[in-house]
Amino acid sequence: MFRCEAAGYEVEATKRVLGAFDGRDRRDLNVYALPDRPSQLLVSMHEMLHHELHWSTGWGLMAAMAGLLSEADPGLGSLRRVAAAANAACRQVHEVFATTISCGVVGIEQGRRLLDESPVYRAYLDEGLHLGGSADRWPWQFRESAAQVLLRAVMQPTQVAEFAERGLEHLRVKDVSAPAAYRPDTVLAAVTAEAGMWWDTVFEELAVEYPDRGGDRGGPWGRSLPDDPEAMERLKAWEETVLIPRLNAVAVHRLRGQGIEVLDETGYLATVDLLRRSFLSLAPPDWQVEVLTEQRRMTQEPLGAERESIVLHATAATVSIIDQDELAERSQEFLFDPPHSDPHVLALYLPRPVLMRQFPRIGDLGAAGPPILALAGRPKRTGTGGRDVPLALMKVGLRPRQLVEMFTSLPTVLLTTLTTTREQDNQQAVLELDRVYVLLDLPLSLQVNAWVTDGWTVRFRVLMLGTEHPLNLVVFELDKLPSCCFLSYRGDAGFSELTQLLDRHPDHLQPGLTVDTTTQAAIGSITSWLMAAWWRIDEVEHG
Amino acid sequence: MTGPGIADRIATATTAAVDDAGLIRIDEAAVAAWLDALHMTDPHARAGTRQVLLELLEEAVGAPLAMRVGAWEVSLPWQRMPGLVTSALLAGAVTAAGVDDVPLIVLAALVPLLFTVQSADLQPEGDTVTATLTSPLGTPDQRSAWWQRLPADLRHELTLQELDGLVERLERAGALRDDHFAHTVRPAPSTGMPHRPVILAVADEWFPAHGGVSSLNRRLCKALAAEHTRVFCLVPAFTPEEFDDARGAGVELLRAAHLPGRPPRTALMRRPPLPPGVVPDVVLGHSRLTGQEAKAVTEDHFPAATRLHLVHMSPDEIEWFKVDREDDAGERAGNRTELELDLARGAALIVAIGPRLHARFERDAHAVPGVPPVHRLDPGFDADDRDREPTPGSPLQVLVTGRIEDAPLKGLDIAAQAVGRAVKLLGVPDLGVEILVRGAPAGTTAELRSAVLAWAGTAGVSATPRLFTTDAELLTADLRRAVLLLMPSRAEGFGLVGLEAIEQGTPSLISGNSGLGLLLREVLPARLATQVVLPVRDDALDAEVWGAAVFSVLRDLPGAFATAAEIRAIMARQRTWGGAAKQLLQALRHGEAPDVPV
Repeated sequence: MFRCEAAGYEVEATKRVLGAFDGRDRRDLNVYALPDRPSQLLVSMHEMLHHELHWSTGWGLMAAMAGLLSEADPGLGSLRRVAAAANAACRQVHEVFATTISCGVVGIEQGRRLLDESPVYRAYLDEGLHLGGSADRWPWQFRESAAQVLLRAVMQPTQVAEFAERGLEHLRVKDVSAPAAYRPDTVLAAVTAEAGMWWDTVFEELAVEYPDRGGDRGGPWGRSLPDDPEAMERLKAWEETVLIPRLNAVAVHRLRGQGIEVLDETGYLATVDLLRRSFLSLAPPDWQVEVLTEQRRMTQEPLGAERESIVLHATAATVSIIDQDELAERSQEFLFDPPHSDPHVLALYLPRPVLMRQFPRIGDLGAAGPPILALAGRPKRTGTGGRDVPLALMKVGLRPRQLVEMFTSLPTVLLTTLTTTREQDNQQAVLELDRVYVLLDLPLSLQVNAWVTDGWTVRFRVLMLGTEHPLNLVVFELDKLPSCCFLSYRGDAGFSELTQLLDRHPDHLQPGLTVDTTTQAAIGSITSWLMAAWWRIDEVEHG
Repeated sequence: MTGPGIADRIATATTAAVDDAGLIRIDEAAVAAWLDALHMTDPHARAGTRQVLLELLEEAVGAPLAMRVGAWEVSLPWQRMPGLVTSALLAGAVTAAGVDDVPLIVLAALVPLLFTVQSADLQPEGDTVTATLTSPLGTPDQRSAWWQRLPADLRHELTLQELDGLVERLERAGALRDDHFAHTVRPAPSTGMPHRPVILAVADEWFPAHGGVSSLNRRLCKALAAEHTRVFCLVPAFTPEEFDDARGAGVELLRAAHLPGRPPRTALMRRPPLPPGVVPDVVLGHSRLTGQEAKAVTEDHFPAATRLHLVHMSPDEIEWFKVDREDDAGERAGNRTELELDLARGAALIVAIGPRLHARFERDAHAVPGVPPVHRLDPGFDADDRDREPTPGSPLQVLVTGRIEDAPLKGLDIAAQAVGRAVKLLGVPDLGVEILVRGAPAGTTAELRSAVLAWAGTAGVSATPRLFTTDAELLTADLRRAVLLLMPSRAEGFGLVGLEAIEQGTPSLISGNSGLGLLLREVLPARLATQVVLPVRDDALDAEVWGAAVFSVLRDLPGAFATAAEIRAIMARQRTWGGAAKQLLQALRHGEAPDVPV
């Protein structure tokens, strides 16, 4: 796991982990530790870049696949140590890469400011900047690309091809741990001092041959990308077919000069294929793996937003189960009274694994049973600084519509999740309601694609949540399913996936959804409750 | 066993509360408390054990901790902690005993199966870990039986043949006797290799563009690198030539990360871009040139490192001769002396270059609380062994160094007057002697030339000022072109340019008011010392004394070069850079700066 920490810009005195990549295929964005949107964007990008580097290089793929297999099959337990050792062997490369490139995205100066109190990460940034050559002579576009190319190259030692040939099950810790000289961090350490001096000649050649640099007009400390989508595509193509290959040739040549052999494009593709085959031969039958190796348009670039979990609190809340007969005495705790709207109650219709994940202390509810129907109370602070959530569980068999009808004097806002509705019976129970709020806890992009494929028109509206956690809430409604209001909580980086979806489905995905005041009030209550009661929002199921 | 065992000590040192689920939060402070409780005194053993422990924690929580610096925290059942700490200790000890081909994380998983963890203990007096084997492993059959009982994942990581090798190495190291294991956890178990001290020098340049301090830094770094240490030198910038020069001598140059809009020196205070996992044992700074930066780097980034403060000058002596400054020389000298002592506070050792500075700072340090002992470092004279002969061609060139504003300090006036007087004494009007003044800032050459000619006072002397240069070859060429180097400084902490001239075999006249002059008097026979070291009394006699000595050299150049060769041979034998480095490391190991792991 690549845990990324703050040493300064957190709000409390203690240091906190801001985000993490688990070295396999998931990442956390700890919004509770991030004070504002720029910090959140930087951390989100940083973790995404860890993820991206792992899944686009031989060493990273080997480590990620070893980690995934060790989770899935106790018989492959030895791969757990291999994954840990492989991740440990590329830690510096990862942090330099993720820190430098994420700062490049927000602007180096802005990035540096955000890292102002974090000397460790400033050092990573400085190292990344050094790797790319002189800022006095060359634009950021060149320098960033050079640093990226080098850092990717050191993640591609040719030994990975040998390991892939042997098969993942034969990997040993010894293969990836010290003193193996081909470990990415070892290679980087060997070339760091001089790598900044490698690029002048190729930069000069590129500047002469391609004075427009593919269309980037940025200076020494930032990119300036074209607004026009076609011009952007041209720039992307130029970088992928000219800039990166030329820089990569320099990196490969220089590394070879130091006795370090790295995979070329052909070797990489062959290694990926071998790793993929080995992985699938060892993985559970229903597992799939997709490693994208071809060139894609901007709108097709996978952002993997669904792999980013939004962590709302460092720890999960406790739950106080309220008996039915106690409910009358404590009714005030279950009353939601939003401003400018009538009071209501909040009901939950959630799968048992979801409740167990959000509230681990709730005990074993049994994963296989029907969804839990419950009334949600307003979370309270405990004496020790924790959070406690009152829940009144309804008896098994009570349908959501029956619960709603029990409250004759108060409206009931019912929250469920997309995973709940995968079961036909549950879906039927949800569709019996006049109004239901569905949290998107499965990948948004897949769901939107599915709606569009079915020929439905999807309208949406984005609400920026500026309260304790600066997040975005995207509210979706479907023309053919007006009773359902779908809710997706995203950070700013994850939010940008919506832009891609808009580009992909201009006819079926439309902004401008009208959200009436009743819905606004219901969404407000749901959001407040979720932000206080849950500790994380995931779009990928956890096993 | 001495006192409570490891498990008891860990339990006592664990102060974090156990939560309802039986978990405790473990962080860096908890680990430090455990190592304290075990009385782990050796810093490298401590660092190594910490690293293994962190790897074990990563494995225990199923998610490696990415960062080894800053904050991390994991929650684990508290009952597991004594076992984990013991495994870390044992794995470190086994590695230290010579098992360096089994990764630590694998060893740490093996040791609870190899040893009775409950029997493990740490002898406080020597960081020696003891434990009892779970089964006898003396015969191949015993080893095979034990190996068969290992979990499959560990058999995958350690073949039977590798187990044989492991046992054999432990036996060879004397760590395994019968069913008992005992071995010190030193050296650092993190690599399984004997610890090679890491030295970080903080300097303002690599090639000496700005004088003696940089030159000394470069030579000292190279000498230390030759003494089985890993030397890094942090500088604001370097050229490929500088990089190659350093690398050729085993020194790794590090470029300080520049902060836009801030002076280059500021960058020296940032965390140096050392390779991952490399933490300096020793940080070295130079006077007030980089002493502040070295102090900041040590305190802010490497608090466990030992800092050396090298002093190259005595402000109380030299500031009086800097005539171009507008502020009060006495006040400036006082402030700068105080600054040197301030910088020395918190360092493990003051390193004074040569006898003159050593004597002065030994006196000053004695009177100030908190200032460390003073080690005398005599630079080596053995960097160049090329023979020299009198330079052909004309006019003869006499080399002096300095800027016009430093003229009184460097005795430029004395040098020029001496050359003028010598030319008059020689009585050969067309002999022609050129005074080459190296080190003039741009824009000052005309003024400098006029001043030198005026001081020389005779038509037989010409003056050629030369600008500062970063080109080491040019500086060497100056020394090899000149028939004489004059260093008539009124005050000079050491005088490296004189040393370089002696190394080159160039006849030299050195001020008795310099550290170099004192050193030459200490080492050379009197007949040679009196020829090369001359007094500077700061009166009218100086020009006469120095003039007579210059006359002697110019009158008999072959004899002067022969004397220079003799002096060089003696000094190169008596004072070497290797010896200087060894003595410095020795001072760190023993006596002068205790508890330094070199």
